[in-house]
Amino acid sequence: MSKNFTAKTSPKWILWSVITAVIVLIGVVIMAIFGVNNAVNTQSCQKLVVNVQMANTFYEEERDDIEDICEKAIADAGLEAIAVSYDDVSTSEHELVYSFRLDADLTDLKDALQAELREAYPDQDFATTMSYRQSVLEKLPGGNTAFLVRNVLAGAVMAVLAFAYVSLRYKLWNGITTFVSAVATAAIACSLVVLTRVVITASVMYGVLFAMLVSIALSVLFAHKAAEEERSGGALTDAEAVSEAVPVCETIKICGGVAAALLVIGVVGIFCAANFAWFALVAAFGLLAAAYSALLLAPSVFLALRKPFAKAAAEKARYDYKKGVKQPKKEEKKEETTEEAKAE
Amino acid sequence: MGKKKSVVLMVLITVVLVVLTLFTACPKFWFPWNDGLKGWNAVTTEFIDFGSDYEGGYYAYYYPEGVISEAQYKNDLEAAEKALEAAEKEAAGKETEAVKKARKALEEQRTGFIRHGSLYFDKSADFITEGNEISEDFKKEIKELYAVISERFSQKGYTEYSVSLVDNYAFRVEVPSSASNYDENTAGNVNPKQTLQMFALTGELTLKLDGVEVDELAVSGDDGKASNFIKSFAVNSQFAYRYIRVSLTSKGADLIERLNAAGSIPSQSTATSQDTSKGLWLFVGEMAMMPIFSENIASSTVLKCAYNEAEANDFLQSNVIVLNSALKHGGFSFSFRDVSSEIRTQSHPYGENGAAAMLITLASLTVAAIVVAILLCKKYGVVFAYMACTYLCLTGLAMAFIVPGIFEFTLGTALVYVLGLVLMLFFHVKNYATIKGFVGLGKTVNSSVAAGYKSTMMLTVDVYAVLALAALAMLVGIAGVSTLCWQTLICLAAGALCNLLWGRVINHLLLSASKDKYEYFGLVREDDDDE
Repeated sequence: MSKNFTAKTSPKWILWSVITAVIVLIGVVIMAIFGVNNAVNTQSCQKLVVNVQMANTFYEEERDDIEDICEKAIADAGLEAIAVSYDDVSTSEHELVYSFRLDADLTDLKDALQAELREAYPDQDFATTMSYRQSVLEKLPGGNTAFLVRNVLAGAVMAVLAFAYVSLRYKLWNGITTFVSAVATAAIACSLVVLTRVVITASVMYGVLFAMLVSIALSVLFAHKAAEEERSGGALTDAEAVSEAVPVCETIKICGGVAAALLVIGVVGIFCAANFAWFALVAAFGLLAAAYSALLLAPSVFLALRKPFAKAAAEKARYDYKKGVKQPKKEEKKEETTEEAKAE
Repeated sequence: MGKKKSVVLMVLITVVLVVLTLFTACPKFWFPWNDGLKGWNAVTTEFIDFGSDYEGGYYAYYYPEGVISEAQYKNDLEAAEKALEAAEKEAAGKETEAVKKARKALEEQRTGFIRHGSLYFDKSADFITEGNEISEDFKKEIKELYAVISERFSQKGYTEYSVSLVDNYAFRVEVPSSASNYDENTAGNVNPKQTLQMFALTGELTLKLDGVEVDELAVSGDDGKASNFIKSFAVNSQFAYRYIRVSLTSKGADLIERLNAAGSIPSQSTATSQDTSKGLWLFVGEMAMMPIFSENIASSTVLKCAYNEAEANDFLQSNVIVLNSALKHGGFSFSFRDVSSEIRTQSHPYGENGAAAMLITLASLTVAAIVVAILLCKKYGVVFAYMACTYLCLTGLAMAFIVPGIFEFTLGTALVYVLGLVLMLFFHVKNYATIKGFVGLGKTVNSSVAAGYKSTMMLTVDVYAVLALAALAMLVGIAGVSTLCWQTLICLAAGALCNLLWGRVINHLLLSASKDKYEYFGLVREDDDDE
């Protein structure tokens, strides 16, 4: 991304704000219409528990055979289990827990399964039970609402604290840019998660907060570079100065490094634990949002804020500045014309 | 610093770091000289609590007394049928007393239950009305209990737990296997099974003296409520010990004073056994929670009970959660059947060995970061190798030992570890570029190093400080997010320490030991040409 490009994109804060708002809005609309894609362990589902009690100790072959019978019966019933977990209750007792969607009709399957298992193992005890998860609302720790409200509040406090630190260390408009960038990153990341129908678990919150942290770090790098640029006092226009301060290399290095790590975690997830892959995808969305905020949104917001703030600061610096007294516009114009005339 | 001194120091640091790294992150292996019975267990595999994202967990069914599962019902029915069969066989066709008894038992089993989904309700249970319906009071209580049990697990600090209803009247509770390495011989070790049992208590909080409820609490109605006598319970520490602090109301203070004056509260020195029918005990329902001895009276309104080792913090915490819950919500009219037989381990629905895979991934990423640093910074990259190992050890050890209770390693923890590692690498490479820049301006290597570190210091401090401040905000969050706050702070503190101090020390030692300082930084010396 060349400096020319950032010089061109920086003044377009309306465009980037609209794009951000549109992405977030689409996410909200999609969520309102279709809801979110809850994970197996966070959604309402039916569980078919096959409890197998052997007269003697279980052998691996028997266990595998029973699992095959169950899987065949499920396939014959035209159903698909969304998750399976196994549990050795004791050396002679084994439980298979199949999770199905709420609309699946398990009545026939249950009887068919029991009959097939009895036929294959006439001397053993089998029991199949069904249980229903009540509601997704209470699945997240502390209850869905409490979990979301408290953690969204944590994100908001995070943005405010970053704003306070950056404002104190650099300039107020740096602080505001950091705040806007962090909030936009979180909103875009959430929206992308909803739009792509990524499986929602409690871990999604970690991915979003992580994205905010990356965004805040990039904002500080931007503020630092902007301050350095200002100190150097070169003869650059505002847009050029801001484009010089955009932390392009830094963003590429930090986001690139983390993205490479996420890629590895995602690949490991594909082969080992599927939830790693989903989580890596969520974190990658967060990273993408943070990079977008750092490279496109933050510089444009910074530039838009810098003008009025710099003007106000210059006005305050005047020798005849009085608090609460504004200079009449006509006089300003007159002064400008006389200065121009003098210059000519 | 002299070369010899630097080399000696580097050797020592290397040895210590290698040992610490092995201690922290070496894969598990068995010693061949011990018949494969003893082996090496690294801190990360042995002491870190892994969340349910990695290891699955435990689940338990809470069935109210009088409610059984379908599996249980069928087992009981089959057992009754077999008993009748056996009795008839033994009686050889005669109608003996044993046959009559077995037939009655089978009949009771067949007709004594009402089916509701996968649950079977005993018709003789208190909450079954005359019309064989489930009473409205019971339904209401189940709803309330659902909120109470959820609250208990939330307070415990598990990152991911779930409390769900099975067919409206039984509970299925899941907790992460945060203590897969639970050792029953270690006092107070985190034990999710114990927690699952303890949180199923539904009884009222009572104070019993010699097995009988004390008069003041035995009063029916609001006057007899425990909350009139006890304000709250909390875990506090004193020196190396943990204890439960019981804050009493003025009524409670009067009660304890009366009992103490009457000599009813025994001394700990004279109490010889854990007999709950003797002395003063706090009960939740039928479960004796803790004794109160005369030594426990710290002041008129404070009792300091259940003194224990620091490792028992988790156990005491669970006690306090149940006690406070019983104090706040009172008791329920029914209890759960013995939970211990209903506890199961649960494999993770998305795959097994997640923890091992993640640890290997993180270790590989750390090695990859070291390789990248060496490729980018030449010998200065070796400094990063020391920094990365230190980062690994500091974060691993801190996460394993900083909290005696549950401190779960979640997927978020892996992310913040990676973030810390990448930030550390970023600032290291930035330092290198700055140092190179100063050398290019004509400064000597030593002054370039000093100037390089100085020029990047404020930015490094700013980034770590603002991130630490932002991470603190996560304390507002609940469950895994508040745990993630401390884990982020650990990673940031370790990263900042390595970037700002440790890296500089190592660089100073390696630079002192190197023969050619320009070569060390991968620089080409430009000879001055007067022409």
